[in-house]
Amino acid sequence: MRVYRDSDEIDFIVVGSGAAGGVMARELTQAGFGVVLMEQGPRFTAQDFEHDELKYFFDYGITNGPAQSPQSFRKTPQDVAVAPHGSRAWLPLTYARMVGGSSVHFTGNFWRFHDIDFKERSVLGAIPGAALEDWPISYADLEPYYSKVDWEIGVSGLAGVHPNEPHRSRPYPMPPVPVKSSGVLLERGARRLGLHPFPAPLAIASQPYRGRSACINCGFCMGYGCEARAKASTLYTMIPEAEATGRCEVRTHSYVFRLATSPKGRITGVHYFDAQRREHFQKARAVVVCANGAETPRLLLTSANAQFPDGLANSSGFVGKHLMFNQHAAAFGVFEHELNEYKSVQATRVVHDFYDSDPRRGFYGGGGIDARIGPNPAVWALSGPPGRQWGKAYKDHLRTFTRTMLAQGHTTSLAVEANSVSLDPVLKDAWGMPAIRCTYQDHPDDLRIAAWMQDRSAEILDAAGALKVWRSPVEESTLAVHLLGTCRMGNDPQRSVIDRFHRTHDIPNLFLCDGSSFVTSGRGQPTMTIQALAFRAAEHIGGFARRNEI
Amino acid sequence: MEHSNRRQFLAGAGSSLGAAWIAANWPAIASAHTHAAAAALAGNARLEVLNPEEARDVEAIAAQIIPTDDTPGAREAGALYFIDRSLHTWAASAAPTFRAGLLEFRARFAATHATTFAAADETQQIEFLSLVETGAFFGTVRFLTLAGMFVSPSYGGNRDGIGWRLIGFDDTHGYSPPFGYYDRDYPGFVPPPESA
Repeated sequence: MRVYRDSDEIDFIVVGSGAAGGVMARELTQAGFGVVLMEQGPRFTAQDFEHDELKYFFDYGITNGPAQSPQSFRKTPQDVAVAPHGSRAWLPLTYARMVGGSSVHFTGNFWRFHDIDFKERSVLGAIPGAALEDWPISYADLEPYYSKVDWEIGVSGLAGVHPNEPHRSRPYPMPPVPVKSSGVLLERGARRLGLHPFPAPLAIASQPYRGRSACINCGFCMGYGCEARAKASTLYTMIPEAEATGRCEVRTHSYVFRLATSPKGRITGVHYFDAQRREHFQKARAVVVCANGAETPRLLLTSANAQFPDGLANSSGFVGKHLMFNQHAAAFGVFEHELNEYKSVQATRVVHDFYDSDPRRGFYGGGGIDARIGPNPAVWALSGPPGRQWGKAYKDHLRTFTRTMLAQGHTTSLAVEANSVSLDPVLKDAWGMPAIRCTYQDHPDDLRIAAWMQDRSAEILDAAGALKVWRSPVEESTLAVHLLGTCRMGNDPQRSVIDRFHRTHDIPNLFLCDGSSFVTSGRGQPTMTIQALAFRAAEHIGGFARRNEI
Repeated sequence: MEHSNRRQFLAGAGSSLGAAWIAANWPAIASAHTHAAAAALAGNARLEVLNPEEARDVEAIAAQIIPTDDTPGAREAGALYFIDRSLHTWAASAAPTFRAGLLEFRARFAATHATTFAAADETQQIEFLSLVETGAFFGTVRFLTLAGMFVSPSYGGNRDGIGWRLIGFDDTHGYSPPFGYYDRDYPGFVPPPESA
């Protein structure tokens, strides 16, 4: 692996090695540029990953945790934010803290956005209480890069089999993974209702692909690293390809805490802590921040200086604002025979018939429904139906594990200006930097569409012949893994943070690309779009660099 | 148990995936998971945090959360030992709160009963737990009991896979289709005519 010195003025620093950062590093190095890929976490290999619910779900095995990186939460700016306490307290905003980032522990549902996602404001008009805007790019602009994700990252699926599928220029490179019982039942129930279920597109290899193994159907996708290298993390795909160019250094345990600017208002490099918490400064010609929708705005805010007192790239005041989570709502169906949903990937069939927002429903929102496992054993046992969750009857409920499936709605979140990532005025992380303060309250329409989609999910389970259907209540969001919208893209520098090419409006050699770039939330599966944006952004950023336009 | 299943998987036994398939598709496997052996320290029956009286009450609460009926419950799964071990390992930061909660629980029970919680009869136990079931202490015991029954036995609970057997979870390292009853005779995906 190439190693650079702090004093080398390298072409690009990419901050964050996740879904977007991995793509960015690979594309920029393959285009001939030198890149240091900064990662605050460690680097694991496939052999390090285990089927260990305690480690991964209760003990922050690969995610940011409250001991090192606390966060506080409040519903509205009028409330005082408090940090959740105790060993069970999940952070409000969770991501995988390691090389590959959340692309290591994601579930791999790779839905493309549809045309409508990019232009809902024009089509639907303003929504009270929300900052709904069109994207400055269209689906057609992004389509070539979605296809690039399909082929370069590796997506399995079946094209041309549902009526509202967005246009695609190429088929999937791999067939769908084997259907599960939940997929068969979702398909059966949905078709009885006149809907159009189709095989779930997954970033999971259904056959050996580009040097990676096919899925072994182990069932530990959501929240886990893939031991078979079948799930397409950038740890296995993009980052080794970047390193193979001889121009990429992956610098682990390197926590970038401040971006430095020159008197001319340009980025000169990044300050970071190494594994021993020693401070360093790495010079660079340009910086691309791909640190995720929580850490990217935080870094811009902690980088405030005399010249940029409100944080970098924040002349709009929008850095950190318009945080979106995606709502979710599940209906559980208990069937007569065994499904054994704990085997294999989460979802094998999806329904997109309710994707678009429909004014006749009386509120904004849309989404998809998938058939899925849901949790592994311990989380299953902890999250039972409403009512008494202990005792003899509860034990009987637990016995329905192998006969139960979820039909889960994945739905929209509206951008609301008050929903945000900001710096907590008191709370500090283990390095003494200001902690994330999350402010979040779902727009009322977000809760309505989640409940509405849960009704549709329950109908599908009924139509599929479920003996019993139960629901987890739709509640206001307090936890999220989809971290979206906090440095939104737009043409107007007063109403957005980055332009259509991911360049910050304020600083010509500072680019941002990750979930923070989103203008709207999509329908609950953001990583495919994050990576398509990264392929597109990298092409433009590389072009700017070649033409000396940075 | 997890370890032995991993070993079975590595050997290609206990799974329909052949050793040749593994060699071809997963070259890193040979060195994989050797550290799992070190983690499999199940069955340590010593208590480090709870004293015997406390332990009897905690075990009795756990035994009401997942009772023993025609199949083993939290008691047989060793949930108590998982809880004790958690309180001085990964959940150590919760130990002071847990102990304070337990003290209060025991005091409140003693105020209205002539025996300890563990020595009370089932009706009294369930009645009392119904009074405290929304409290933080009960919530923590419930969380740890269920975690102890259903996470890997290497953490001291889920002895002999009692929790996993209760729910029918087969801890094999990978599976092959068909996975369940409904996908057994699936003819393959056929799009409906109008979308083709």
